[in-house]
Order: sequence, then structure tokens, then C-alpha cells
Amino acid sequence: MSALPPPSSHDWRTPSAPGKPRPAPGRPSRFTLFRVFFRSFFLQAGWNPEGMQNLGFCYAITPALTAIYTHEPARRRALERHLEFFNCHPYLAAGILGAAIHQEERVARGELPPEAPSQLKRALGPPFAALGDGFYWLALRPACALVAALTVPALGLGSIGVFLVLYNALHLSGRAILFVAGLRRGPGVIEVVAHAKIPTGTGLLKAAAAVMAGALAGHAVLFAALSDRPIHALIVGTGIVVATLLLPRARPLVVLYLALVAGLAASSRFF
Amino acid sequence: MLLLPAGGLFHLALLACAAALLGGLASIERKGAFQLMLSRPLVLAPLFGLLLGDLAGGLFIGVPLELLFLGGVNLGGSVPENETLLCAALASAAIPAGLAAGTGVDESLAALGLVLLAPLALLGRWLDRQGEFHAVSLSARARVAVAMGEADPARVQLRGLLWPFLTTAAICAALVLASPLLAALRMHVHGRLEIDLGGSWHAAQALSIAAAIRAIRARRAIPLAGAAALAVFAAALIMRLHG
Amino acid sequence: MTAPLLVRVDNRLVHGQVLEAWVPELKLAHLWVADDEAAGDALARMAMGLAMGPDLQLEIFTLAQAAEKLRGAAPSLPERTMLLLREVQSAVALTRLGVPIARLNLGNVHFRPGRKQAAPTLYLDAAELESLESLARAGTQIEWRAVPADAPLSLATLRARHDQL
Repeated sequence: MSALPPPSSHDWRTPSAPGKPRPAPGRPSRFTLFRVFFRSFFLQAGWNPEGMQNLGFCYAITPALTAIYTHEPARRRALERHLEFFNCHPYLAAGILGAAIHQEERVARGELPPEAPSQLKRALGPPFAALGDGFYWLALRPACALVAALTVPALGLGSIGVFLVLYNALHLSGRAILFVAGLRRGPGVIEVVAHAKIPTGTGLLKAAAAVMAGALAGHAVLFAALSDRPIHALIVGTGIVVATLLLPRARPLVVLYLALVAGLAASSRFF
Repeated sequence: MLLLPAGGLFHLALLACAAALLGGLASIERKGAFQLMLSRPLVLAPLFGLLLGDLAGGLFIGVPLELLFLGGVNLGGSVPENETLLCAALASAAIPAGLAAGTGVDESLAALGLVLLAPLALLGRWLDRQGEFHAVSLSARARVAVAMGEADPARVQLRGLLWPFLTTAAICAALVLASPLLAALRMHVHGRLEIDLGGSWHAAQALSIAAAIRAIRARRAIPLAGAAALAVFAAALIMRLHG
Repeated sequence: MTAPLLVRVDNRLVHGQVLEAWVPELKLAHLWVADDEAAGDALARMAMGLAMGPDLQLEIFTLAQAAEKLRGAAPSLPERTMLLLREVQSAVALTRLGVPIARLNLGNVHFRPGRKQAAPTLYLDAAELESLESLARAGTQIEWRAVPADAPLSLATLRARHDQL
């Protein structure tokens, strides 16, 4: 035990009976870590408004805690602290999960106070959530879906494959890279995230998505114009413009019914 | 007379079971597990098509529904409309109805289905909130399990998957069983009304593209989209002049 | 003359609802965070900085530093700024330090023992509700809205929902 930190006024180690040696902390095996990673795919199974992803986080980290804390009361206390509030983007949370395991190992060795993992989760959870929401939900998913929508006429079912492969390549690799980075570097996972320049990617993907959505609009009007009912090009064209203006101001479902009725009316009047 | 798919009532019951299973699994995949986007309308509708025997029909409704809900996003406690439930329900009703009516999922059938089922996206959001509210008690159970020294105390959270699975499965099964009604409705649509419902569907498609443009929350989204649309027109014009 | 101060109470400070919903809706150019824990935690500060897009400036202060900047005759608040606070009581502390709050948006306050649900993402205890009511009497406009698309709930509604449970 040469890697102990310099002696401090506090001993963070689990309190045990005086004189009784504390059990040595265990190391989670590769298989255990794989189980944790697999369980992280169920982060939101028990999502609830009070603790949000608290159950999912605790569920995922349980195998690692069981391996690290060979001493029962310490294991119990660790489980308890991971039942506290947590919320993040489900993919980027993998990085925090890895970092939390890294820190729990240090807590078990007495190098960190027991509240360190909680503090880490509070510090990284919300900003990582913002990054993930922006990149995956609001940029990558729309961009991949628009690629598929544009290629469906040519590729058919193949374009659905394109969507799933494009999206999940970045989804699954993101999860795995962040989890491993968290395990290795603890709080240093943030450097990996910083290096990824996520907001730049988000901006580029959003711009690409806007261009594709516009191309789709143009294609839809042309397609209607070349069909056997060219007047429907007018319905599609005005529909896109009017709906784009109307959407931020009205409830989507109301706009949907307006569109269905307006399309019916326009068709019966013009054709 | 009941309008049924080729294999009769037995066939319909079989389709109901299949739709319930697929819809239920998709509802879990949407938020509770994996999130590989298999439950997005773009993917789910063709899966329903494969399963229920009309792949083209599934593809036909998948793209517009995907675009319509492209901007729907779950930010923390802010729950969006449930596109998965609407997609599963529409596919469960329209695909068997199209098979029974002999029309397949065409424009008028899709428009009719959307008119009847669109509010399910809101019902889905309400159901999601109910499920999440009930999951609060799972937290308390996990705390008790920790105190009792159980080996895997938070495993109880997996029960949270039950609610979306069961509700979505029930709705899908019910709609497959109700699909003969939609088929009958479709049989009454012909001539003029059929063309006009086509206009309805085109307007819904236009709305879905507008929704896609609006889903991109970037400052220059609308000018970029406008420029791209004009570029497509220009390209088509050039091709026309040269071809 | 600077813009009236728009404040949001959010236990999670910088997250998706703020950056992906409020920033585009209000065309915000500046986010100010006034929170002692965040100001004292290098990791939290770095993480918040990472989440900013190119057109958004972030400043992180302690409550006392923020009050210093915001009170007095010429407060140094730029246009299109939202001030984020972690707790309801931080808003009270700011007003006690002499900073008038024009509009207070309640975003997320998480559950903890003693708090009861007042809105989908808002749990308040009795003391917090009373503080909010005294802020309202002093002229602050208060509403709950997690994201701009939510239908806002007034303080009276929050009180009624809270007392019902």
C-alpha cells in the first residue's frame, strides 16, 4: 500500500471497530464492468419525478459496488448514496457512471470522502445532459432521420437501415468511449468530452438538418406537381409555408387537424 | 359483413397478438431501455408493416409521422407527446384494414386513420406521466431493500417497464381488433371523396415537413431550409431545360 | 438603464431545458449562474462552460458577488441575460442583499423530505412557499414553467396544489 495519500486530519475510511483491520477493497473485474455497462442501458426503466434516474443509476452501479465494498455496512451506505437524485442524458450518463466507479474505488481506499461521488454526479449531470440533449436529441436524430426521409424513395427499407446505422454508430461508440474514459480518468472524463467539441458538432448537424429539411420541402412540392393531380403541389407548397409560420404559435395537434381539413377543402375546391 | 384479412377471425387475433407484442416492446425501448431509436415512427412503422404483412404500408406512414414528431424531445421532467404510441396504434389499425379492404395503406386510409387516432399522442403523454408517478414508489421499495441488505436492491426498477408495455400492448391489440371498422369506412370512400382525402394526406405531409423545419432549433434554420428548397427547384428546372 | 432582472430557480442550474428551450425562446446571449457550490467547484464550472454554444456567454458567481454586480444605481447586467439560482432561498437572499427581482421563473426544485409537489417539476416546503409569497408581495412576478411550451402556473395555483397533498 504505497499509493496512500498524505495523512490528513480526517480518516475517510469506513469506521470499523478500533484495532480491527478494515477489509481490503475489491476491484471490479472486466466482466463486472461489462455488466454495469449493459445495465446502463436501463438507466430510465424506473424514471420517476422525485429521483428521476436515481433507480437506474443505482441499478447500473450495483455490481461494481458489490465488488468494491467487501464489507457489508460500507456497501449498504454506498448503495444508499446512489439512490439519491440523479438526472442526465441517458447516453452521456455512461461517462458519469464510469467516473463514479473510479471515485468509489478511491473512497473505499480512503483517498476521498464518501460524498465525493455525489458531488461529481451533481457537477457533471446537468451540463452533460444539456450536451446530450442538444447533440443526440436535437441534432443527430433529426439529421439522420432526414437523411432517411430523403433516401426512402431510392432505397426503400434500406434507408431505415442507414438511419439506424448512422445514429447508433455515434450513440453506441459515445456510450462506450465515455464509460471507459470515466473508469480510467474519473472526473477527467470531462477532458474527453471537452475534446469532442460537442457544441460545434451540434451546430454543424443542425445546419445540415435544416438544409435537408428544405430539400425535402422542395422535393415534396415537385413530386406533387409531377403527380396525376398537379394541383396538390399548391396544397403541399402553401401547406409547408403556412404550417411553418403557424407551428410555434399553435398546438401541434390543432395544426394537424387544421391541415387535414384544409387539405380536404382545398382539394374539393380546386380539382 | 365484417371486413377481415384473408385468414378470417383467427388471422385477425394472431395479428392482434403480434401487434401487442411489438407495440409493447417499442414502448419500453422508447425511454426505459436501450433507446436505439427502434421505437421511432421511421423504424417502428416498417417493423409493423413486416410483422402484419404490408411492408409498403408501414413505410408509407413511417416517414410523415417521424417528421411530424422530429422535434419532440424529453428534457428532464418535460414529457413530449408520445409518437411511439400514435405510430403503433395507427399501424395496428391501418395495416390490417388496408389488407382487408384490398386497398393497402393508401392516402385516404392513412388520412382517415390519422383523423381518428391523432389524439392518442396526447393520451400517450398522459399515460407516461401516470407511469412515472407510480414509479416513485419503486424508489421507496429500493430504499427498504438496501436497508434489508439485499444483493440487488434497485432491480425493482425494472417493474417500471411494465406500465408502458401493458398499456401500449392493450391499445395495439384493441386497434387490430377494431380494424374491420376502419376497413369498412375505407370501403365507403371512393370517387370524389377519395381524391379529396388524398389532398388531406398531402396537407398532413406538408405539415410534417414544416414540423421538421421547426424541429431544428438553430438561428438560421429557416433561411437555410428556404435556400435548399429553392436550390432543389433550380436543379429541377435546369434538368428539365437540358433533358 | 438595464433590462429588468429575469431569474430562474433550478436545482440543476445549466441543463437541457435551459439551453435547448429557454435560450432559443428568449434569444438569450448571457447566462449568469449565482451559486456558492458551483462557484467553488472547478469541475462544475468547467462542465457548465463546455455546454455553452458559440453565441452564449456564461458567468459564474457566488451569491454575494452577483448581488454586488446587480445592486445599486447602475447594475452591470447585459441585455438578454437570465440569472440562474439553485434554490428558492437564494432568490430571497439576493433580494435581502438589495437586488430587486422583476420576474422569477420556477423551473426545477427536486423532492426532498418535507417538500411537497406543487407542479410537475417543482417540490416546495412550507417555508419556501411563504418566501415566494413575500417576494410576490414585494412586486416579483412568479410563475412555474419548466420549458416555455408549458402552460404557466401562478403562485396561487402552486399554493393550492401544494396544500392539496
